[in-house]
Amino acid sequence: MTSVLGYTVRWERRLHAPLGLRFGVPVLSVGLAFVVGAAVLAANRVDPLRAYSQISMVFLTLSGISQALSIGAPVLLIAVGLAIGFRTGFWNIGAEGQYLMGAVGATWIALFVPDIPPTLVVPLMAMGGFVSGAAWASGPALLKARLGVNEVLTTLMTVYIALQLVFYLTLGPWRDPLVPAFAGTAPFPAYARLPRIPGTSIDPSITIGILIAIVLYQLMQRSRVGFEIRVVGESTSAARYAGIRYLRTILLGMIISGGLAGLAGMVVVSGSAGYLRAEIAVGYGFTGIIVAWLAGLNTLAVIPATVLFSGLKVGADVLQTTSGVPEAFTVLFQAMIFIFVIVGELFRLYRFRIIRTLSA
Amino acid sequence: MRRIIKSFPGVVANDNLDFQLLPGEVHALLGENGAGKTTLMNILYGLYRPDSGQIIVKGREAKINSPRDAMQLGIGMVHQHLKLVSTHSVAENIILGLNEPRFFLKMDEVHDRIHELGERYGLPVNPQQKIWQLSMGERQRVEILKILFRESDILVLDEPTALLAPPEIGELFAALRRMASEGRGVVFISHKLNEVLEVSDRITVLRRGRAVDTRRPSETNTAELANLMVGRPVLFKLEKKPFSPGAGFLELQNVEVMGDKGLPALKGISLEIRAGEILGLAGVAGNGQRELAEVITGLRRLTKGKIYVNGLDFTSSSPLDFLSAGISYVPEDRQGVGSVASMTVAENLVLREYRNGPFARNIWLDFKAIDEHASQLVSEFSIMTPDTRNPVQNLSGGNLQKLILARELSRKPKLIVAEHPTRGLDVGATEYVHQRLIQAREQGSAVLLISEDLDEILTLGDNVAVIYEGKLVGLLSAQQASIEVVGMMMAGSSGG
Repeated sequence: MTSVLGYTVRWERRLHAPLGLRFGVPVLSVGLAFVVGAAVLAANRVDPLRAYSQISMVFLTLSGISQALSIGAPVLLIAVGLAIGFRTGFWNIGAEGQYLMGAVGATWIALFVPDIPPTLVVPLMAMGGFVSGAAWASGPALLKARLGVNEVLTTLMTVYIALQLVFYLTLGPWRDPLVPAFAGTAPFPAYARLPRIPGTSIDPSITIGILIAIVLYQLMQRSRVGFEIRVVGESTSAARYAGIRYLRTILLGMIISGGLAGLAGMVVVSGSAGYLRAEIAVGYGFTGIIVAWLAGLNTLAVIPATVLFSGLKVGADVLQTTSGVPEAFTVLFQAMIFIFVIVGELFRLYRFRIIRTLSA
Repeated sequence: MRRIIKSFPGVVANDNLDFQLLPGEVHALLGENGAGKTTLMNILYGLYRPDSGQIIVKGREAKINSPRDAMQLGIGMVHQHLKLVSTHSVAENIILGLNEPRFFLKMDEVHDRIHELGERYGLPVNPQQKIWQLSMGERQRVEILKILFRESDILVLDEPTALLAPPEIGELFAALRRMASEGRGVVFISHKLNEVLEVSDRITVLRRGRAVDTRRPSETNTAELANLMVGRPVLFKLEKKPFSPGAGFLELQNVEVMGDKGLPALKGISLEIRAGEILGLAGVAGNGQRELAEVITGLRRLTKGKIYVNGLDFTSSSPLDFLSAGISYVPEDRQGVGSVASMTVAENLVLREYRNGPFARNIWLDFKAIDEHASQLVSEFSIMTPDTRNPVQNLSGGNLQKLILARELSRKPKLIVAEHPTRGLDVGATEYVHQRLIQAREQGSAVLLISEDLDEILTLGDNVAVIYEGKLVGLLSAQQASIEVVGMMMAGSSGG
């Protein structure tokens, strides 16, 4: 350990991570991101205080909140699913691909399966989205469980396969025959769209997402399956010793995380978009990873983390139009939060002390 | 080390402790779990800072803020839980953390030096092997060589014999004597009385954070040391009813399996364990004991042979089937296999029973029942924990072992596979575990006791099987067996 001016920093592993830090780390991470963000804004000749007050307006106006919630639903669903998947020790980086496949599955039901009674279309689309996302995720899960193939690589690679598949479908067999100049499907019929809460742009998906987050939290903490997932995530050999079926458990984790990402895809094509285009791949699957970690893989904490992230996104869009702040600022901001959370994890696990050492 | 005080939340681990190590001596630190032996040495090694007190190394007061400072002062430590990178080679582990060489590693020179040190101290290892391929005893040698490689002259070994078989213990002691004769100071932490008497020049006994006394082996005996250590006289006798075995519970026929290294680990084992029988399995570490235990608990697939439990073919059954058939298992690897570090004491106590009543109601777990169960076992087995919601990563090694034993013994098992059940336990807890194993036998359980402590096997066992290189080389009744005969068989000599 190097000492500077007669002082040394050393760390000891904490026996108990204090409760204060469990909340302190995410809050402080976001705070620090604001501070560093202010410097970046100032360097771009934007008054940070004015910019932040504009962002905060998002959380104070009805239109701002409804916009934040409408983009929040897919992120919420994805992050909740990832929180469970990560808990099984399965590093699913490919939620973006599972999200796209969910959108594909939902689109297929909306446009290409004939003779469904109109009232059943939306529920079937939701199922189709879930199943497609889960199926897309189960490939890497099987490869890992059976052959030990690293899932970080396979899940990430399947994102690009899914994206190319969407390109193929929207340029080829599923292209809207009426507007052949665009790569995209025809608009969905009204019965294949999520209903909206009158007078707003909010659809019920956010409520469903919140319900799912609460139910999964209960399952993780108090059910047998949740217990099994927690054991498997910590130690596969302890899980085998406990008589837990490893394959079944990580498949279940993957079905939940892939399925919810697929459901998010359905929510987007059936809700705000109303068609399938490759442009729906805006990175919700990657934002979801950050949100899940900011929430400490706790599905309840995912809810406020999502509100924060989607609010920031909407706020940054506002900034872009009013102050000319580039869109990259949002990404920068999210990345800073992520970095601070990861660094904060170190402080949660270790205690740092500055010690006077022998001075010359 | 003078007047060392160190407290942790709720306990004073070192209470005004003095300790002196001379060059050229092996100095034993003797005490029960939690007496403060490891804390004191962690202070010396810079892992903890004392609340107050002085450390004087070679006549000068030293401030030791990190292991690096300690190493620079010539202090090296072998921890109870070995700290090696398992996918790296022996040589890579030994040079890990060294400042020299800066860029280019001359691995040939390193290999030669490791060979030479190994020869000199009687601790041979192959520097090119990966750590995961080595037995626990070999891994410990690597840790010792690592210190010798750094030319440390103060060596601290924390319970080094806990991992070793009798012949390996002899080799270790010879190496320790050799180091002392070269003028190094060796601190030997243990709670085993015989070993301490055998190897040390001086013995300091700790009890509840205080140094009770320092003796020379010639001035004392086991009974007196036990008394100093526990604070009350200790009985070394066990009450045991005569052997009257019931029906066979588990039978292995010609079992063969592969080990982790991809080589045959068991080569045609046939064995029967009966209800009401304690079968001791003796052997030097790495001769197939762990693989045998894993076969009997369903954790390792057979390549040949058959297993019958209660007369039913269990050859291709899952770990859950073995568990449900009433087979309990106390695994050697407590942290990696036997428990889940981040989960609570209560959750770990139902790790193997969570799916059964009264802990489970349809898909939900009943945490009230789980907590009650935990409170009961915590007091019954005197597991030291502030509460049952404490994550087990905060428990000491001995307490974690008690937790695993509590869980496995309380299931009313038909067969207990106990792998080194008293390793790391103090005298009092060992006594208790032995009583519980005998009690289980009297209630009609079968027990397979895997241990390298021959005293333990011969006192508890009704019959003794000896394993060598994956084969059973002897099966004798405890009356016929003597330490000499079994020791010979463990070393591969077929006589007897």
